[in-house]
Amino acid sequence: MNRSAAQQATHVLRRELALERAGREALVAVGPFVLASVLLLGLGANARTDLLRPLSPTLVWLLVLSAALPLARGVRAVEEDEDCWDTLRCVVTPGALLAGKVAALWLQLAAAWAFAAVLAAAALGARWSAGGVVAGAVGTFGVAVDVTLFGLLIGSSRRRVGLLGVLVLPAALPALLAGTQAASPGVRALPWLALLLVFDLVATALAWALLPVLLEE
Amino acid sequence: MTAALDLEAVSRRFGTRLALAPLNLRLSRGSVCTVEGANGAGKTTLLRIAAGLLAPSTGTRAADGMALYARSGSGARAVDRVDGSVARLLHLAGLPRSEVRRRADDVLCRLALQPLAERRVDELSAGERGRLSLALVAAVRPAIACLDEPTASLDVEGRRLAAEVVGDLAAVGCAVLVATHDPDLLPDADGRLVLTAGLVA
Repeated sequence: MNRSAAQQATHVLRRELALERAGREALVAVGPFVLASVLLLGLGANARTDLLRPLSPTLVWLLVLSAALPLARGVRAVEEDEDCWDTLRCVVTPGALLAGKVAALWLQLAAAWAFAAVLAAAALGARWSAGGVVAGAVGTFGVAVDVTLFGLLIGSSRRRVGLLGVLVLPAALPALLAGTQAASPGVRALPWLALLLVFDLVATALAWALLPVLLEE
Repeated sequence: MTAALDLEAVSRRFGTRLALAPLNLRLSRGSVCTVEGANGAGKTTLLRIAAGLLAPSTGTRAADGMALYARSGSGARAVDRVDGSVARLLHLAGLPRSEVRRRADDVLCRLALQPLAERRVDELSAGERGRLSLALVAAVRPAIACLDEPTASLDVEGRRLAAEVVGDLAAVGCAVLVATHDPDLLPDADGRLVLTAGLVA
């Protein structure tokens, strides 16, 4: 029954997507939050799109980072609550488990980013450049890695849940900064996209290095 | 017979508390060993070390193949379907796609879960979830099966099925370690370990 780590990671991803399709937990946690936030901001600013348009990239990234926090529970805490974590750890290699969980979160966060970006375009008059869209795809990967790491951390120690917001948001600061800049009119996107790539690589290396410690009981 | 699991002088401390005193355990392929003892005696600690989930404080663990740890009711997500949870685990375990369906159907029939195949896991009773946990292990056929009180929520028929599943696993070459409070569950087990406050009695 030997399979490559890539195949195992793919099956972890498919499992995560199937469970989301069955339970719609991420959709319910993120969709209404993003929708309400964009609409309320538009109403709160009295539909002044001239004011809101330049802020839209920052708003979208802040929404994605905020939406990422509840998704962190799905990495490990929900699996533990439902007595599935041990089974996963026995059957799947740690690397494949990490990769599958990151890939699933990436898809969810990228979808949240796209949803928020479309809403911002419709309600706030935001205009998205190609650089801004690429930044959405690249930046959400690094955020997904960060959130997966923190999801592993809060699963292993419930006492640190309060630290999550404090730790995740600064760790995702490069995504917020570079993602916003890459989407801003008149700004060259390429250097900021390069920063996002470095952010992704550093987050991935960190996750890989910390994984054995986070999985240890 | 080839050793599937070899624990040498393994012990485990949680802080200053000794949960499991150093012990040796060697399980051959196809053998069954029961672990008995009162609550807090160290049964779960031993099984989790055997499964590779818990690192021993001292000693070494050598395993020849995948170990799977299961306790009654564990292993399937609440929103998943019964048949889907078995199939997904088989995919994760690396069973070829062509065999997944057949193997899943076989174990669901074996554990009398076929009529519940399309139900969501959170619609099952505790006893049915207990049988599903056994079905998951039976489907995967790991090299080492660590069953932690597998009959905890089962009725008389479920206990009979559990004993049969242990026999089935041993017959296909799995080494089976079963923690139980029921000394009559597996009267023909190859080995019996009794723990008292972390020590082998």
